[in-house]
Amino acid sequence: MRIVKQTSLYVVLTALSLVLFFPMLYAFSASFMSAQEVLLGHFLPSTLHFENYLQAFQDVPLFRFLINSIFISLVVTFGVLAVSSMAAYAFVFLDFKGRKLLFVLFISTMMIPWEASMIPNFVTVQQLGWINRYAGLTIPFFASAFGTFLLRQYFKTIPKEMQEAAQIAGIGHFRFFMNVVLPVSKTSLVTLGIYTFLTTWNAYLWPLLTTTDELVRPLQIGLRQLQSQETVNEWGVVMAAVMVVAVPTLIVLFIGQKHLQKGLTDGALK
Amino acid sequence: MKSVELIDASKAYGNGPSVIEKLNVKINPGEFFVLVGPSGCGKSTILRMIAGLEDITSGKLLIGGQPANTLPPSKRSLSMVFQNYALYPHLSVRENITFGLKARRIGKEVLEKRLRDAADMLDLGRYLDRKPRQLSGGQRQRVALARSIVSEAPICLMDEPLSNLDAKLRGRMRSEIRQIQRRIGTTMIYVTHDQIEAMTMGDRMMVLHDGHQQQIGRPIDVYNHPKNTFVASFIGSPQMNLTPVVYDAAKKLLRLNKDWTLPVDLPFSSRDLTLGIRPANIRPDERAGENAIRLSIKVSDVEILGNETLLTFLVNDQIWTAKWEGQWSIPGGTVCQIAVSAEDLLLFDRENGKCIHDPKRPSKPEEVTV
Repeated sequence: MRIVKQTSLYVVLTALSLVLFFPMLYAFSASFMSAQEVLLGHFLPSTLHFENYLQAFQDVPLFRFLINSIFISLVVTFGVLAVSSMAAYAFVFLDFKGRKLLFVLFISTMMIPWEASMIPNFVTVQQLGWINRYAGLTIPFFASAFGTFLLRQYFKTIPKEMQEAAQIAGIGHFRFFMNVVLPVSKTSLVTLGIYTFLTTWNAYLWPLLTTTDELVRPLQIGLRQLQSQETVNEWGVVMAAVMVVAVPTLIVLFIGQKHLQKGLTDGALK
Repeated sequence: MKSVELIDASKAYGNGPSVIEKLNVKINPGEFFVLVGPSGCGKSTILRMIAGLEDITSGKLLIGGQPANTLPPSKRSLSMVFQNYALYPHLSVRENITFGLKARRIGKEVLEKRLRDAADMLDLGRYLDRKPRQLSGGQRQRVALARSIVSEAPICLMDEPLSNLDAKLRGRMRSEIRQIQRRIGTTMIYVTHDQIEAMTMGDRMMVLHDGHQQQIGRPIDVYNHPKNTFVASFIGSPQMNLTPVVYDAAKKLLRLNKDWTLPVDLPFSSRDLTLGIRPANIRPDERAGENAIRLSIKVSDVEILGNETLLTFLVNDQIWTAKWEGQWSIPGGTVCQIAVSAEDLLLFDRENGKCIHDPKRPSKPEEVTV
C-alpha cells in the first residue's frame, strides 16, 4: 500500500515538474540548435551547435553584462544586508520615542508599488548625476523595508537578557551587534541575501531606465538587446544567452536552498 | 567589596502608580542579601534598578557609598546572573565566560588564569569547548555563574537563578552558590520567590509584597518574629495557621468561636485580632508541658512524610496544619487533643495585620525594621 502511494506520488510530481520545467528544458535544447531546426519545431538538436554560445558573446558584450550583473547584485545584496540589519537592530534593541510609529511608517512603504515611485526616483537619481553609473543601479535599493521587517522579526526572538548581560559586561551596541546579533541571525541573513541577489539579478525596468551605456548595463538588458537583433533568424543564439543568464541564479539557489528553507520555516515557527 | 544602599527608592512606569514604594535598605559589603516575595511583588524590578537596567523614578542609590543613580550598568562594578542564563548560543563555553573580559581588554594571561580558576571552582574544565545547547540545565547555570565570577565584580546580582532547575539540583546549587559567595566574599543580592532559598542562603533577607518592603532581618528572626500577617504566612512551610479571634479582656480569654477559648492574659483591652501559630508549635497532648492550653480537634487528614507527620484539621472553618515529629498513624475523623503553649501564640491586629503580641520577641529588636 505504501509503495503504491509513494509511486503514484512520484509519478504525479515528475509529470508536474516536467510541465513546469518544459520552457527551461526546451530553451536548453534550443540553445544547441541551428536556426533552421528551431523554426522546424524540433525538440532535440540533430547536432550540437556550440557556436551559438560563441555567437551570443560576440553579438553583444555578454561578458561585460555578466560582470556588471554579478557586481551590481553583490553590491546590492551586501548593501541591503548592512542597512537592513542596522535598521532592524535599532527597531529592536534601541529604546527611543516614536519607535513603534516610525516602524509602522517604515513598513507601510511596502504597500506602495515600486512602479508608482519610479518616476520621482528616476528624477532623484538623474539629479544626482547617477545615470549610467553603478551608483544609480545599486544605492537606491539599499534601504529595504522588507529586509528590515524580516530581520526585525528574527531579532525580536533574541532574549532581551542577552543584551542586558552585554550592557552589564560593558559591551557596546556595535560590538553586541557584530559579535552576538549577526552570528545568531545567520539563517535570516542568508535568506535575505539570496532573496535580494535574485531580485536584483532579475531586475529589468530600472536598469533599462537609468542606463544607456553598455559599460554598466546588466545581463537582462543585454538579453533583450540580443533578442531584438536576432529574432528573425537566430533563436539558438538567444537561447544560449538565456542559459548564460539563468545559470548563476540556479547556482545561488542550489547553494542557498537549505538555508532558505530553514530561514523561512524558522520564521514560521516563531 | 562594596555596599549597596537604597534611600527612599521608588519606581513608577510613565504616570502610573508606583510599583516600588519608598524602599530603604543598606546591604553591607560581603553580605548575602535575599529579596523574597511572591511573583509580581517587584523584587526583580528592584534588582534591575540596582543593575541600572531600569531607571529609579525617585530616591537614591548608593554603591560603595557613591551616588549611582545615573551610572550606566557597566560602571556600577557589578555582575549579574539571569534566570534564563542569557548565554550566547553561538559561542563556546570558554568564549561565553571570557566575552565580557575581552571587551574590557584584559590581558591574555590574566584572562586565562581567571578562566581556569572559575572553571576549576565550578567543575567546568571538560566542557570549555562545548556550545551551550550541548549542556544540561545545571551546567548552563554553572557557565552563567562562571561568567559572573571571572568579572571579579565586587557586587553580584542574581535573578531567580535556580528556578529552571529540578528540585535535587536546586538543593545542590543552593549550597554551592553560598560556598562560592563565602569564598570570594562578594556582596550578593539574590532574588527568589522560594522562601526555602531565602531561609537557607541569606545572611539577611527582605520580604516584599506589592512593591512595599515588609520586613528586613536575619532569616531566623523573620521566621520567629514576623512583623505582620503577610510575612507570617509567606515565610515558613507549611505556612503559619492564621485565624480570626476576639480577645475578651474581662475574662482574659481569646475566643475562637462559641466553643473554643484559649485562656491568656494580654496587656490590652478587648479587640478583634488574628491569631497565628506555627504548625511545629502545635504539639500532641502527651508531649506538651503542664501549662499548655489544650483543645480537642477532629483530624481531617494525615500525611506521614517519613520522620514527621502533618495533621490537618478545621478550626473555625479554617484549615489548620500541625507538624509533629515522628510517624503518627491516626485515621481521618479521629477526635484527639492538641496542645499549644501561650508563648508560641502570635497576635496580629485584624485591621492592619501588624503583629502586636509576640511573647518571645526580645525586648530590644535585633534588626531595625522600617
